[in-house]
Amino acid sequence: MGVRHWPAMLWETFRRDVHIALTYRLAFVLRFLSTLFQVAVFYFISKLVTGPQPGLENYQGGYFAYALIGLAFMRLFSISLSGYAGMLTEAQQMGTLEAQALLPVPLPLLVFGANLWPYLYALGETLLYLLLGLVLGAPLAGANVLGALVVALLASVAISGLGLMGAALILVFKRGNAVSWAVEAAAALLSGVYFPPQILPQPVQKLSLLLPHTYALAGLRGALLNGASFAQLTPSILALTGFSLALMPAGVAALVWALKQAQVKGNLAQY
Amino acid sequence: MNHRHPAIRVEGLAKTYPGKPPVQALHPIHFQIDAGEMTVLLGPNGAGKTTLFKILATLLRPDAGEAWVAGRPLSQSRAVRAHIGVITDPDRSFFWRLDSRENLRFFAAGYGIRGRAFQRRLAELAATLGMEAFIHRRVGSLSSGQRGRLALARALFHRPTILLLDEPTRSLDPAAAGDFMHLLGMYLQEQPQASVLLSTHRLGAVAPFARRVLILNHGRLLAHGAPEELLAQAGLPQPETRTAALARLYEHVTGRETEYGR
Repeated sequence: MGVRHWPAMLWETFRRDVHIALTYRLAFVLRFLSTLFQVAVFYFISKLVTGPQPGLENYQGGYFAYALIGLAFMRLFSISLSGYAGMLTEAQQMGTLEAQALLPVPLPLLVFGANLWPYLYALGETLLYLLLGLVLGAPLAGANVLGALVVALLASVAISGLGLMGAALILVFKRGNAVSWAVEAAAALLSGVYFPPQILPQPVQKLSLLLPHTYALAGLRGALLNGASFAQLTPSILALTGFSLALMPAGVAALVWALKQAQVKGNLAQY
Repeated sequence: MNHRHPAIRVEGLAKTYPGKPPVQALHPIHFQIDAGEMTVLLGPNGAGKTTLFKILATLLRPDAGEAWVAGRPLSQSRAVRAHIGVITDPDRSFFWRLDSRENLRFFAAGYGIRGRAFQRRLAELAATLGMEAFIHRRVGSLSSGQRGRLALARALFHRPTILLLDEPTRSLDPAAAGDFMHLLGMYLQEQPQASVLLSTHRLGAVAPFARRVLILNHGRLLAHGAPEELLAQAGLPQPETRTAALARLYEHVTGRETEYGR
């Protein structure tokens, strides 16, 4: 099957996953409720965080608005980070991975396609977070939406590169996606998801510069809470472009290498 | 497919699985399957049958040797996959939350078959394979026999010239296995140039179709040819039935009690 058929294959993969997801209706309800509860929890926590706080003064809206952006986009970034490995594990467990590998289509294309629905779903959840935040008083009215979209897209590409490396690890080691675990834990602690990195000790703060999440969240907060212009977002955009250019090819190369290893060892379908 | 080429040509294929200790699953083997030929692959568990199937289906890389499938070397994996239909594990290779039609739609798209072409082929296969009753039912609710038919439909959907069927009747009762072979026979009548390599533990079901046989044991190819010729070469009498002939040949070549029903 030629390259011209690949978009159609991606569409069919997306369509398949939507159909499967629609058979689990309760999961939709529970995810929706979980979003509501999470926003409510941080809304009330924010009532405790009053007065000037280091790192918060750069953004409008106080702690609630700060945490809202972190929560909303971390779900999106989590899918970019863990979705590829999750798809492979699920296909291995269901027994469909070899059947898909038998198609005359590059398997990395199917792995990428299998993350489309989870990504779009997470994007919908991100919008739900923002909508709830708006209702609860987060200052999103003057947001630079296009700027936020550019930052979110670049961050997704960069983090997907890490996600593909995690998927490669899953093919090699079967369990224990060390890349996803380490990056997610480090991002939660260092990148300013729940609190500003400025309150961390100085040496630890420097570690946060190694993570694309740090630049992404700074850019997203600037665009959404402060209405930052593209010129003001340039540092975040440049950093995320650099991460994307480095991590995405490395992730694809790692996945292709891992698939070849699985073909040598004969353990593609094992988990 | 260019019919000047054999359907499958294998030259010195060998495979050792890495590990401690390494396991040599296939010693260098050579054979050829011509277009329009159905070959039954026999051998006890662990003989190397599945390893051979996976190599020919490009799921597994050999350590040595080369093979050409539909005239293409295995290194042209996507070109090879476009010409083969494969059954490996009918029970666990579908999306169980989707119905049969949606499963076929996804896999057919992998061959570029979409829209009206998909609808036409689906209607043909549903009628031929008797799938109308369960085409809109979730795969998770199908019987093993129905899943076997669905697996056959998926393998045949793109009209492959070569079928690689690794124990396709494994989870079927004798009647369903007979039905499966009957449906396969109908396909071979429709596509006389199609070639089949099929492994099974059900000699009774495949015997009428087994024009040629390959026998593997401990990763070595012990026999390849027409069952009657192989029996004659070994100086063994020809039994009355093809099933008995295959069983006798198997026991003679492998030195093992046959595990096949006669």
